[in-house]
Amino acid sequence: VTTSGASTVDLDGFAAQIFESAGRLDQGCWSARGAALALPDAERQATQSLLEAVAAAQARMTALAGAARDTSVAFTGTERSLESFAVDLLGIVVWLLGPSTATTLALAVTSATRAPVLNETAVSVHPTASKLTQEPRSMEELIGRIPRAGVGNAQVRIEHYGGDEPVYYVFVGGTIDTNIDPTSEAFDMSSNVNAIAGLDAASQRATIEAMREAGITASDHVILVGHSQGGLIAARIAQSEQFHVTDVVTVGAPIHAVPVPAGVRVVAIEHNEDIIPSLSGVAVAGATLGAASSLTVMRSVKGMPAEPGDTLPAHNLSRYVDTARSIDRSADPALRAAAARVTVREERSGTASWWRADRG
Amino acid sequence: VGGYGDAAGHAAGYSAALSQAANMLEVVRDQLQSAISVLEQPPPPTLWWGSARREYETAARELASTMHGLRSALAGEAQRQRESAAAMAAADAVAPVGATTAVIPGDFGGVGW
Repeated sequence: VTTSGASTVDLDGFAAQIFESAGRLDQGCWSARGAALALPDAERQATQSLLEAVAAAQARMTALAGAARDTSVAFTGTERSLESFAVDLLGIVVWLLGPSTATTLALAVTSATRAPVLNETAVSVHPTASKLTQEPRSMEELIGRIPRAGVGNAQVRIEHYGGDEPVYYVFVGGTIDTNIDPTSEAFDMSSNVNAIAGLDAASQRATIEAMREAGITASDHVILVGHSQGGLIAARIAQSEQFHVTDVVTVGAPIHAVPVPAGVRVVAIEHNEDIIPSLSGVAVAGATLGAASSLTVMRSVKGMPAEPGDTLPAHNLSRYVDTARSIDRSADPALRAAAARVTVREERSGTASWWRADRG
Repeated sequence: VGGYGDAAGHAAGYSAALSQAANMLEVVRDQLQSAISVLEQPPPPTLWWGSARREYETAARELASTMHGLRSALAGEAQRQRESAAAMAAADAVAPVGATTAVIPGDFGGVGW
């Protein structure tokens, strides 16, 4: 069911089993066809006729898997939202009110009470390092290049590849400071709340500033990749249409309320147990993401061991790198097509630069 | 396949090809059984409800039934091919090398045994 063209893939779901079984059957048919070529006429024709019937059944099975996958979307989203009830009160409020209403309400309250929280400030950006690099060849490499959130870390990584098809990859990291009172960190909760509400966010300004400093012009081909707040910023930049963004890839990002332009392909990768994407609503086919070609990839990481002190293990970037590895292994045509758009098969050298943004 | 040097060799080639094809049909039968098992499992209770679930279950049942029929047909064909392979092997064992008693029409150059 793809009422607006958007679709969802549940990596670990019921439909995936059907896809996998249909894939094995297809391979078996092709092997048997090869063996049948060596048969005398009568046996060959009888065998080929049977294999055609099996192939037709296999095609029906694949279609059924596709229908099961797309129909499962709404329920996957609902399940996750129900899980969030037990996890985070803020999530409930945002889910009930809608992201824009909740954040606008929060900002109105803080503004009316003149509370020194969630206020936006000026931001400055500077490069911290650069090196030669190779264009990402897999989803695992792509997601693995998103900057890790850490105090003092660079939040943005920009890669440039020239030649016949020049492209810029902009990797944006997640929230570093979770306090609502702004300090020097630009990727903080103030930026988060403002970005969800579609208002002026320091992290968004900082990323745009870094892109311009790196030499990206309005006509350059740009692929945006982000984790958590970084994914949200990526979607907001695509929405702004200040750059020629063709693709946005996000992991664990609350982007479902962002009206991304129709020409931009969005791949949103989300863990069922990750509450953060729910802060902008839930992934429901036909009601999610602005781009008609959008694809939401769901995966359950329930049962995977958590590191000590990790309060949101399902939101961890390392786990999303693991999920990207699963995507690389998947034979699902929707995933293969999505991965092919944002990775390369032949190696291409380019430059990578890291950018640090601070408030003030 | 073709170009066997003599009639006995050609019969042996057919016999081997028939056995191999019968084996491959058995592989497809196994994969069909696996597919049927997947199709016959009920969807997770929280996954769908209402008409979407009923539509899926109806389509899956019908497809599984078709696959059961295909498994039977494949079993019959595999059995026929094994019997043909055995008959050819037996004829090969008694026929004098190089004797030509029949001609097989088709793609194999009319070499007979």
